[in-house]
Amino acid sequence: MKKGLQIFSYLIIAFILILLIPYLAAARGGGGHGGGGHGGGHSSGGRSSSSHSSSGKSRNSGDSYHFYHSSSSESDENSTEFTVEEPIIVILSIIFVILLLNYYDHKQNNLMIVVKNSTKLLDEDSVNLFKQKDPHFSKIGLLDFVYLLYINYYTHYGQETFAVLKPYFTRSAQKNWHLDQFLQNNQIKISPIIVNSLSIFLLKTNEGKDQIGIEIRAYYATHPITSRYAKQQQNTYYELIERWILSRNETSLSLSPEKLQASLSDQAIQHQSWYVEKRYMIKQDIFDINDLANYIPEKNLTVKSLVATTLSNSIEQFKKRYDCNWSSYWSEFSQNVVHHYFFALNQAWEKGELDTVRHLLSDRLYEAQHFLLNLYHIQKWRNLLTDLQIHEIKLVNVDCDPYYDTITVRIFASCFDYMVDQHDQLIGGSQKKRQHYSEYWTFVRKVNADIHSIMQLGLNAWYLFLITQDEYYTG
Amino acid sequence: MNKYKNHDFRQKLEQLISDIESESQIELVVIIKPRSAYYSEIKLYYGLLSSLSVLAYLLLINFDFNDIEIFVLTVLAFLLGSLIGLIPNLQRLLIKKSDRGRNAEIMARALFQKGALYNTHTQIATLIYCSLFEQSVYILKDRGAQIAIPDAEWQKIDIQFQTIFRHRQPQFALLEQLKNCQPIFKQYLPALADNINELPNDLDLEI
Repeated sequence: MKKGLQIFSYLIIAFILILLIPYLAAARGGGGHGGGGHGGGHSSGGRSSSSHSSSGKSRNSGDSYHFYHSSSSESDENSTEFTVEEPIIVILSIIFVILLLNYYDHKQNNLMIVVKNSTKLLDEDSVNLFKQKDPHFSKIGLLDFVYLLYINYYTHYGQETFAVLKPYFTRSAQKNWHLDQFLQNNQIKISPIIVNSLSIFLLKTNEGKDQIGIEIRAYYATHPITSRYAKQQQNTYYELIERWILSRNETSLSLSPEKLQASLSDQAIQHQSWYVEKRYMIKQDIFDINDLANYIPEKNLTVKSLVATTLSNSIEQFKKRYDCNWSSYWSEFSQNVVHHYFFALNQAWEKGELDTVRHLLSDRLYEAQHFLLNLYHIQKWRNLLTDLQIHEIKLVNVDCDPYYDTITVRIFASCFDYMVDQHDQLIGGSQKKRQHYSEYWTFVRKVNADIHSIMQLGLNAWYLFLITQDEYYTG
Repeated sequence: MNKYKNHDFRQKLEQLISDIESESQIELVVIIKPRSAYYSEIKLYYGLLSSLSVLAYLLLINFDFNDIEIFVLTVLAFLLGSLIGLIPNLQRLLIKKSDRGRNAEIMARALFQKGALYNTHTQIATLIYCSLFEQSVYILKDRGAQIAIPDAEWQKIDIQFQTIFRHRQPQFALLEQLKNCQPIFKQYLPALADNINELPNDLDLEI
């Protein structure tokens, strides 16, 4: 595009020069501007007089002005005539070039190169290494625990009930400068708190402590406590990114997910659990609901799928645990779980009836999706996904820990994705251009002591734990 | 700008920033922008200058031009002058260095604010903003970084960065100057045991 614009500008300039050549040549042929040849008078105040000038203008029958240049000694046949259209074309062309270059200049100016250190989220391999040290470690169990802790933190912050949570936070991590003045003065209420995604970016053992860094992307809404009517319009929505550093004693071993969650209320086992050592607020911006109608073109479709290096080992582990034929299990899983859940969820999303698929989703995912649908509802918008098709389902990870089985797939799909308002007017996306995209979907099922009961439940035991946009998935 | 978009250069710059931050608490962000302001009036100045010159020439020369010729040539001269005014080097001639520096500073401060770089725990974010048209580098440091590193060091860093546009390949000079800063950041703001990146990966910088 950039090169095309440049070439186009050069062509226009060349065109202008070609137009100018005969004009300039004729002007030179008119006796030279130096005045030597003519010796005549010069124009006065820009007005020329035919009595002392050999150049002038005439009106022809076609009602168009003609310039002509000829020396007095030359015959009329030698004079060159130009219509007034020529300079007008030249002027318009130059204006066009200037506008074009200005446009190009402005477009260039919007470019910006930003280089900074990026936080790389942890891949599955590092988690597997940690599991060798702590065989009871469950990534899903920990993320569920952090999710609960996060919701509780914001729900109880600034209230007496927060005391129960204090053992889970160091003194510095407890403080939230952003909320203090508003909550303590009873000015705002926070509700709802929605965790959109949780991902591990740090996992290490340092100075006798195990440390885990978790990036939390969340939304919450604040509204004035004084408002008589809890109208949605009175809410201010925030989008947050926080990084929490959780620590525990190096010698501690992971609790079961049930115990871990129970530890939030059971002080007897609190000391065995993780606590939040540091809390970093990375981003807190007002979330503009209108942004939901802004569609960003998909860029990562061609990026290679991030397949876990331990995939074949994990499949072996899965086969051993359930004594099953993997290829037939996978084909059944991809058809009856991935396909089925994908279409069911998208259909429910389109209709705004998420309750029909409640049993297919984790609590966190349901709340996040419900929150977004609610925002559409406030705006009286509908997101339509017409002619949805799955093109490919690629297995990227299988994980079996003592408490959960996890299967992550990358789904390549396409549809006509667009947003309409209450009058069915298009406000975002396109009804004509098919949108191709890919997402990583993580399915989870709980592992009970009784393996046979899981097998009996079959594919119904799986629920969708996480949907990750391909640009955020790290393994 | 293409020199800076080059993949090799970006990779080197990313690696260098990552190296600096692994040894220091500093949160470094480098932003390179083609220009900090549009200076539309400069094109008009060139157009005006050129049309006045041509008009004077047409009126004073010992040769007769008719009304339309004078009009057309004056307008043409204005447009061609404006076109010439688009050439960056010629634009720069008519803009005072201090004005260019001021515009770079305004843009750097706006980007710092928009990107919420102030949002670090100990306020140690530092923005190195390079404005190519203005040939100016503006270093904006948050309070924590300003306090931790002596002002004399900052002044030295500032002077060194201003020289990068004197080089034939300023992109390499930029890398060189960043390398020179590494020991200073390490000395005054050494990395802590649990040094984490406190800025989001995707900064929102659209202004």
